[in-house]
Amino acid sequence: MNTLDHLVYMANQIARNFGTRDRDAAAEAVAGHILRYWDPRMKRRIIAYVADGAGSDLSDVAALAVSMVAEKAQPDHAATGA
Amino acid sequence: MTYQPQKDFGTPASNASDTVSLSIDGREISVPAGTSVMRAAAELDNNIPKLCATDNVKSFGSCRLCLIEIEGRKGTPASCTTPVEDGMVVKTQTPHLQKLRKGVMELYISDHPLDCLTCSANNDCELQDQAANVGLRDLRYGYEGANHLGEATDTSNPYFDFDPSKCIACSRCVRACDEVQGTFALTMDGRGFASKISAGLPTDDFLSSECVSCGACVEACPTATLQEKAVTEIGKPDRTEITTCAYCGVGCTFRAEMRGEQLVRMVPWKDGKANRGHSCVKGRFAWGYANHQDRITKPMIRESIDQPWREVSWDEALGHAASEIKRIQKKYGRLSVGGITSSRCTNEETFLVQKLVRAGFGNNNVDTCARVCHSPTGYGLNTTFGTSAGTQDFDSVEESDVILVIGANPTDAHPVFASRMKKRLRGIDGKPPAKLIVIDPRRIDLVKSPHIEASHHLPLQPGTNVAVLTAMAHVIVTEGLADEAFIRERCDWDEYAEWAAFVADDRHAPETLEPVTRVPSEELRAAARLFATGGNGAIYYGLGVTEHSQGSSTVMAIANLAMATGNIGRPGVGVNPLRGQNNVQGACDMGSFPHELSGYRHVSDATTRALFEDDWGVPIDSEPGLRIPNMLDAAVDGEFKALYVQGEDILQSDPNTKHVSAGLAAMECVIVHDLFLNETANYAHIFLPGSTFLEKNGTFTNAERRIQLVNKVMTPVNGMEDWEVTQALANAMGLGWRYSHPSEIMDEIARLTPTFAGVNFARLKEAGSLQWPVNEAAPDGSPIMHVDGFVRGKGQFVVTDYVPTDEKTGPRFPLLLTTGRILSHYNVGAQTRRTENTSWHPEDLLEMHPTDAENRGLKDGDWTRLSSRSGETTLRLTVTERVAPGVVYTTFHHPATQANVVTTDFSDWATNCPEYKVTAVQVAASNGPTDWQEEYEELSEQARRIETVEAAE
Ligand code: SF4
Ligand code: SF4
Ligand code: SF4
Ligand code: FES
Repeated sequence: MNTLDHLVYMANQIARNFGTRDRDAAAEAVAGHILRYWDPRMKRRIIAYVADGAGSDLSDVAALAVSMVAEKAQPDHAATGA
Repeated sequence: MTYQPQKDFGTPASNASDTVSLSIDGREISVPAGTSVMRAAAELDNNIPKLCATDNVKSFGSCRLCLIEIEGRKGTPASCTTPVEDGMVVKTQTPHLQKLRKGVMELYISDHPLDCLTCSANNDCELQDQAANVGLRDLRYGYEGANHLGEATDTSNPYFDFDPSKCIACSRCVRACDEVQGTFALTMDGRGFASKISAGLPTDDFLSSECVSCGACVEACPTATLQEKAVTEIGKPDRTEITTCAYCGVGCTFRAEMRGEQLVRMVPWKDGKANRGHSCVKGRFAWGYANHQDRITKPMIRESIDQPWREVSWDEALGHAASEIKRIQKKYGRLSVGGITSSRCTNEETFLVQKLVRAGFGNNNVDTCARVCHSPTGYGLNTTFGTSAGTQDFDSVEESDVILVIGANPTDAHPVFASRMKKRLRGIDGKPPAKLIVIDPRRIDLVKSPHIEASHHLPLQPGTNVAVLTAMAHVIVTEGLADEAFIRERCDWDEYAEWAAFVADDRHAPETLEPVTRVPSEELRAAARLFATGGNGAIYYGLGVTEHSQGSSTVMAIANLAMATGNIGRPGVGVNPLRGQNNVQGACDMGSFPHELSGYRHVSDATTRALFEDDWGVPIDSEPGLRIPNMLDAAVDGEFKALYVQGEDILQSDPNTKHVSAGLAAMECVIVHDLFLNETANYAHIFLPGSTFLEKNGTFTNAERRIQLVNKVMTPVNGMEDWEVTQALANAMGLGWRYSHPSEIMDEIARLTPTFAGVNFARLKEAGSLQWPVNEAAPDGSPIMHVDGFVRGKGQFVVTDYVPTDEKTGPRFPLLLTTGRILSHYNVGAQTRRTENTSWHPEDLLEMHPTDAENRGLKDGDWTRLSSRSGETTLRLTVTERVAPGVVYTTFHHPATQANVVTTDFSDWATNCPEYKVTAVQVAASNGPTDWQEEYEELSEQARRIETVEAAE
């Protein structure tokens, strides 16, 4: 798996493990998890993947979660990785 | 002070709370009821002559040397088997007793070789001592009678010899093996004069017997019959130092017995609270690696990995490392470098490595080898209980009534704790034995061993832990066995209700899940009922729980089960992770994870960050850093370029070897800090030689959260303790650190970490050990956690849905491979492979069920090719019913096997802990090593070359 595939896989896997919750709650849990445990570059890549409109391999909940992450991620870090 | 063995009180301590007073030779003493007269006298330093008694095992009363007189009683009872009574008046020395004792000694000595001067036990022999104590001067029987002299010595065990001609048939060894170790390897054949000790069958020698070489019998033996080879070779030790074993998470403490700077033997410390005077083959005997010829003692560098290594000075190596890190950060950015801490190093060393990364590299790219073993424990227990650690001390097992072991193989991986658990399972001292439930794909030794049999063994399909635990919860909830009073008091009732409704659903019934788990539903129901209703229930788990794609979910499912049955917050119960490496707990506590600072505080928490920023005088990044697998991904992408690895061999221990090597190969500067040129060093540019636990000061924290001191017993052959190396690297980067002793690092840890607030070296020395949290609320530490309430407030029930792994069997890969470890080796085996422990495990073997073997036309001992979607390797086959049909099993101790070439990069959803325990594979006959093995062998040889330089001066 290349890095992007790996990130997509991970996001989907996290989403599946919150599968018993309803869509919004699950997405929120996934977003919380990503914010807490992913480094800025990983977040940036998955956000870009969705922003580019290529996010089709993400499950519905995972995609929603990534859009939540995009809103909450610290823009300076997420944007530059600096 | 000259050498003294640790005092032997003759019989075990009584833990009764009521006391009894008596008089011994005119002196008064009060001792706990149940104490023997012998022990009471020993407390007064009145050492009654004895041979068959020793305080590790119950008294036996066979030698008749310890006779005493008691006022108002006839005869001369043995003091080792006579319990104290109130008002007893005891005499230990009278002319009559003296005469009797001399007679006994005469008999022993007339059947004993009189080569004391050249005997390996000279001056450290109880027979000699007692002959002196009773004043033996001549032998009426002469030396000509029948005797056992001249029998052949059994030298088969690599660490100790058995010389039967010196045996006095006291049976201390047999009792030590039975009671302390629980292996029942020795027998006393015959009676009286014909008595003879043997290891199992008459044809067995020690090596081929059931003996696991724990050494308990050697320690118990009062003569030179069972004697360490090292003592025979080197001589009697002349000083001792207390220290802590550096192998596994049990954390046994030892007296390192030295002669000058040479280690003679390691003797388990009776006051050690983790091991209580016991040890396993690794800790007691496998320390020879410290002086192995492969040990690298000088720093080395090279431009690229196809060049040979060049020995350089410390200054040059450190200067080069510092300038490389700076160069790379300048070129590729602040986040392009990182570090890995080691669970084998001390808390202080680990703390410094993460400090170097956070304060020196200016990012949070620090991770630890716990990533690949127990990171799900941290996540799962923190979420449910509020602390990333086990809830009990080891003593707690003595009060358990039902013990559930899941995904752990304690007799191999945590042998000393296993011995303590087995003691409880045999029901010694009148208490009925605890019941045992084992959930494991393999029939591990614990399932059936001498005097122990599991009530239930659930041989589940690898990867279905969550399904099995949910089914057990289903039984408990639907049959009304949950402890609702506990739940109402200690947990959030609504959360419980939601969880209970989830597990009660029909789709979680054991019958419905049987096709998935392959566990017979009736057996599972019975096990669940037993756990819920059998009294104090304790859960012990290991890597078979964590190393799965649902590792974190399984840990939470275990926590749910413990809360639902009210098994938290008192002795005898609890959730107990059995940690792999010695300092996994400590490495996690010290802030080795990229998202948290010491004491499990997230880097996004501004208050915590401010604490560190004030102390260190640098800003701390608020964003989490990269975890090991993410570092490797980033390296392959060209974004991560330099790594400092302390005491860890990620190439061999991490999954999917090819991915790891690709990541390492893509980096511009890999700094390996270790004892040996390990597999990771094949890809390294800078090698910094490390020191062993015998050569350093510091602390380790074991699986019970017990912080224990590691004391330096010899000078580091590489010149520096590991914390000094990290400090020198930091200073080469201009950080200006000035620690002069690890105690100062611990003071900093205590200052910055609330759960360690009361810890310092002086207190550790005084108390022997402390279990964190140690703070104002618990000044003497916390043997049991969550006593009056959960650390997080209310215990949290978490719904854990079973999500099957994506690693699936199919026509090409029809078998499931699961991996584990064995007793004589440790982790990647870097140390144990460099000791005589290879006598037991010279290579990794593949276990397969007879049916599967027959279907493939394979038989025991065949070379086989093991292949998965990731890669393939070859190894030899063992055909055994320990594994179920469809499942194969191997270990990963030897680099030539490279079992991790086969494992995949699937991992735990929450922590990325790799899924070692489930890989779909195929096995076929083979005629030799795979291409990868051959190429790798060649690369290793190339990469390990060291340039020979002409000696300067
Ligand atoms: S070394 Fe341990 S297992 Fe072996 S015989 Fe002695 S006590 Fe038993
Ligand atoms: S081998 Fe040692 S401990 Fe065992 S019976 Fe003989 S003298 Fe006693
Ligand atoms: S390896 Fe583990 S069980 Fe064995 S002596 Fe060391 S700490 Fe104890
Ligand atoms: S020591 Fe008491 S009978 Fe042997």
